[in-house]
Amino acid sequence: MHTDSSLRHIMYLLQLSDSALPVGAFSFSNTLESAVEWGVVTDAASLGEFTRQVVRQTAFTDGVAALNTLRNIGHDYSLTLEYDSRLLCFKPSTEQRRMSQRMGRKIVELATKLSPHKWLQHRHADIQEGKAAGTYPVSMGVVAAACEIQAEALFASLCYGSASTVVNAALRLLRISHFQTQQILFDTAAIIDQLYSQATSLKIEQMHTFAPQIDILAALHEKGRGRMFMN
Amino acid sequence: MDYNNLPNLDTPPEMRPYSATPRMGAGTHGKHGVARLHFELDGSGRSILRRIERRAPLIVQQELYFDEMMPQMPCVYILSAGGPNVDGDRYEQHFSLGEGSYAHISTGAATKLAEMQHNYSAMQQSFHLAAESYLEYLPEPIIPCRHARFLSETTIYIDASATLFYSEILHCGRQYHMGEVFDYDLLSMKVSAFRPDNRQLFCEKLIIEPHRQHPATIGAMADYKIMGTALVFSSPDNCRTLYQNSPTKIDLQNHTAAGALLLEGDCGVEYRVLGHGTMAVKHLIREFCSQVRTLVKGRPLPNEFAWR
Repeated sequence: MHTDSSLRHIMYLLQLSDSALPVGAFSFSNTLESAVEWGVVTDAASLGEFTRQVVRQTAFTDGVAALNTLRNIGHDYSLTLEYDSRLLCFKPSTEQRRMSQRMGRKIVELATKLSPHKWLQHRHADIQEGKAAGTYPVSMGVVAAACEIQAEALFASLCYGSASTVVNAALRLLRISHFQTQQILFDTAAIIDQLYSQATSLKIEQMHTFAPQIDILAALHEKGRGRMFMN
Repeated sequence: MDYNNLPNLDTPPEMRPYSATPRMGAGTHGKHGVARLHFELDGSGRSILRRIERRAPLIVQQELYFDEMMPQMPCVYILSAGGPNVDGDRYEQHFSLGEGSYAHISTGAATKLAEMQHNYSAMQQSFHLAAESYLEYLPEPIIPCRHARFLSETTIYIDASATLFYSEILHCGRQYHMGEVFDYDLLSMKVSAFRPDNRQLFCEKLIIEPHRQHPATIGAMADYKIMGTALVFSSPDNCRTLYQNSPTKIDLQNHTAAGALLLEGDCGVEYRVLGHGTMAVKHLIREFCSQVRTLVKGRPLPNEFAWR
């Protein structure tokens, strides 16, 4: 965290990272349902490994898109449209694309009610008119720019969001305690600095990933019947 | 010609630590293989390999019509006279198919990535498929040895009415040679697909750096050793059908896992396979290819040759 961040910006960050933020994050599990159903994740140790892999995937895809948005929005707002479409092309899973768009639209809808900033109004109009796909990382980049949230904080918020959706879902799917899930979140924080140092210099076209088992779990999830919620 | 870099292929950041010049240079004569193949229909409506350009160490065999299920299909094998890919090797493969033509391309043997000390091996590929054309690209697996570094960039331009089956199989290494499993330095493999008007359909970039993050992690390779990927681009109706009928399962008995995902705009399907044995992964990839061929051409793939 930068030392020149005001308390106001820290409050904004906490608000955006809170699982109570009404963007629907609570209803997604990042394929944990399939991972539990097929015995890939069975206990706290395997949940921790799975969670960190989800966070790595977020860092080098969504994280790179969000950082590029925050970095470049001041120079050329129209790049947000390009970043949206690049991100959708990069996500092979239909459910993950839908999740990203749903959350991205919700966060912008909420943010426009909280702040009159021109970028938020512009983003909201683009989504409403169908010009922007409205993906979550790009929307978060726009919100962070409007709220003057630093790049490191935005990146940590996205990674924390991914980790928390997995461990919160785990509480409903596994025999696991709150103490164990909090330990996983705490341990996951230890890899964030390294991930940020690798992701921060990447351009949008340098997004990358390596999570073939998660891809297969996503495919199983799309065709499977196991759901925590009715979606 | 600047042999150090392939045309339109800048050195990405992940390769910068490996940019020293190897003893025999990078991309110099004998280390810059090129294969350009163009298929089209001849006057009688037969699909033929109309143009071919190649430079050593790549060898392109004459097209043969050996496919029992589609005897009219030209089948081409690409070989390398240089043995494994070594430090500083650069390869270019460019395939184009004219309107209505069709072909099957494979490699004669696995692509071995030898141990490297200074630089890396790179491959630049492009596919251009015109209207109603059909291509199966089913190369043998890639086997990265200890300290291998490999950069590959594949660009696909495909008409909305054409069909491409593109596959890759990636080994963990020479697992029966002193237990060489995920001992390579870096693999960076990117595939991008576009419509002829440059509208992007799909992009995927895999970076695997075992010393930074070991692939044997839950969510990545877990305890699997071999990864197969098939990408199919076809009409939205075909893609939806393939997605619905694709075998998505974790097979505990054969120790394989496979799943298909429908790409943005229903423009394609990505089929991912993980397994312990090469044959099991190849079998699943070929079965999926057979589904694609049956849907598009009305004929399945023939049985694989016993020696492959």
